Amino acid sequence: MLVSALRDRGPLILPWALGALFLAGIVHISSIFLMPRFAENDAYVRLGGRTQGVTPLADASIAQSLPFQDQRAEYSVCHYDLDAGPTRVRSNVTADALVAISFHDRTGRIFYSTTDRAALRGRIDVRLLTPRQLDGVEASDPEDQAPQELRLTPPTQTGFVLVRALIEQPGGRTAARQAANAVLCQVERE
Amino acid sequence: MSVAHYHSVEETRSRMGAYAKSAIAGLVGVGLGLAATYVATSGAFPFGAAHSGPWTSWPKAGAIDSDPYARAIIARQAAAPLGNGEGLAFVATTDDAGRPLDGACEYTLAGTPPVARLWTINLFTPEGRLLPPGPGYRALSSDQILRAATGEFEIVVAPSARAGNWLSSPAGSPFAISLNLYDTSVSPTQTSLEGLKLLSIARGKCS
Repeated sequence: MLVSALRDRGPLILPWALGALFLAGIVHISSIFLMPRFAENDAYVRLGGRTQGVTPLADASIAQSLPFQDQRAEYSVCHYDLDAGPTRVRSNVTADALVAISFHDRTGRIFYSTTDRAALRGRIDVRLLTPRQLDGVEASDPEDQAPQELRLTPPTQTGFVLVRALIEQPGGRTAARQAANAVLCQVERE
Repeated sequence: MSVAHYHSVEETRSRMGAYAKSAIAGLVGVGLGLAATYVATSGAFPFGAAHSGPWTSWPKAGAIDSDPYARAIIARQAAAPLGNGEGLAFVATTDDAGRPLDGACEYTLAGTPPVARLWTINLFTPEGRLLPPGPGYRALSSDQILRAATGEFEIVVAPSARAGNWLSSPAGSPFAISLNLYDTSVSPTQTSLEGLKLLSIARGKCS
């Protein structure tokens, strides 16, 4: 009965079905592209939104709010807002603790990541700037000297920096906590 | 007069039918499209998976050139995957034979992971959430591993305590194992991890 109904009405329904499918495709693709802009409970928000500077996070709290986070690490997070000025992220500690840092834009996308070992001269020293701020900084650079820090222009004006200090022996959790806290995040005056 | 009236009713009716059909087609289209988005962003990253035995990694998810689906999933699930400069993360939800990891069974992890400054193994729910506290640790790192004189080791994942390297699995519930390699020699831009030997996951007895 269904088959005969389809045979009779199929040619009439087909254009509408094709239209619906076409629309479904457009809606699907545009909602995928818009998701990062409209997701309300993303990592940026779950990690504390607009707080400035480094927020130490007990690893239980980060692992509860973000999926698949290493329980053998201590975390700290810093939210940047380049409206307030360029942001300097650095760690002066050259401890033995393995410190891994990822730089995320507002939607959580990673635009740079490194570990203390891979970083410039074994020290993490990154400056986050808007393209305009970068021009200003470059104009005042001494000509015969390469910059000491790594300069990055994030895809979005706000975002967050996630620091993972792995728990290793000797020193264990305490040393990892100290290493995570030793990463400083400062807004610089323009 | 009466004939003209008859025609106009027919016309109106067919026009109404066309409106109704477009409305239905429109609703169905929007519904289908949103449903597809919901499904596509509910699970794991759909593209760019690299497999090695039961382990899967999504190296592109931690890079600036992640695909639109990965970006949508990162936003919706609040994921903060390991960046390519930090290391490489793998997840397994099945054993070597492809059977889902089950808290009722015990598993033995063995092998030689690729060279890395440090690696860690964590147990999660299949969605990546923390397991409720159990009788033992849910995570281990490479510097805690007890090794034989030859350097080989075994990690037993079981609900009850074992001698040696033991990770406490959730009795009776499904779970996932993650393997994070930090500062590793394995290139995250490698498109194929074919031939890369990670830890094997062999199922033992089940209760």
